[in-house]
Amino acid sequence: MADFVKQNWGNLASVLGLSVSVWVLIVARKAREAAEDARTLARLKSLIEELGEASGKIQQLGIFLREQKWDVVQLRVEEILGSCKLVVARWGDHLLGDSRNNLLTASTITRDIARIAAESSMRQLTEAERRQILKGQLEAVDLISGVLGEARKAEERSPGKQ
Amino acid sequence: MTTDKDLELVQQLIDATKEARVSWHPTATLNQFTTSFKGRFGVLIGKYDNGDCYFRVVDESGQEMLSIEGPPVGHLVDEMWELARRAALNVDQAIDDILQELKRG
Repeated sequence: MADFVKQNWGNLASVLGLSVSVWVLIVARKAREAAEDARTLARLKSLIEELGEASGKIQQLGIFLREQKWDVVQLRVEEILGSCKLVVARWGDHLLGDSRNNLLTASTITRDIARIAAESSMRQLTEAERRQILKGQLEAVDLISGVLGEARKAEERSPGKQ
Repeated sequence: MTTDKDLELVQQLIDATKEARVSWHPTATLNQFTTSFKGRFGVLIGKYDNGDCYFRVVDESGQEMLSIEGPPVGHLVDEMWELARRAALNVDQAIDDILQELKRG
């Protein structure tokens, strides 16, 4: 055995060196994957945070609509539209299925609310119009909540979470 | 001016809505419904108080890109509005549920 080692120490050292290299490669790959998973998870968390804020603001919008505080409505609408735009621009690649379309639909409805709010300063809204604006707000709440739900589902399934 | 391409868009949207491939939603305006495509374009279809319907395509910022209403395509836009309304309010599903209960009773 000792003779064998003596005669083949160069070959044995090569095999050992190769094994160490393969092991280092595997470890490095796993570390890179873990880092990517952690980055994806961090991005999903930021997306969820922003969507959570948008969801809260669109729900609050209902209170201001009921109280007919149109100037506050305008401000809130601008914030919600800004959040939706930011979400698509920064985390568009994380929006799954219909989420991107649903976010745009929610923006379209929110913009419609702003238009009616602006009109209300020039004329009195009818009862039917007031009811419809609240229906629109609830529709936008549903859409943004749906997108938030999808993002949370993606976060739970994210390898970085497990 | 309405082009053949505009008409094709409305016709394709009618077909897609009939096949339930498009999801319509009510907006904050009475008798108006909306849907989105590619996360970049919104379609609005609505009815004025005088009964005429309009069809609009808007971009992400709400800028109007296309507006179709009145002759010679009014009938297509009217049909589109009725289909969008039924889809947005889940009218067919409601009818199915009612029919199911009636048949059971």
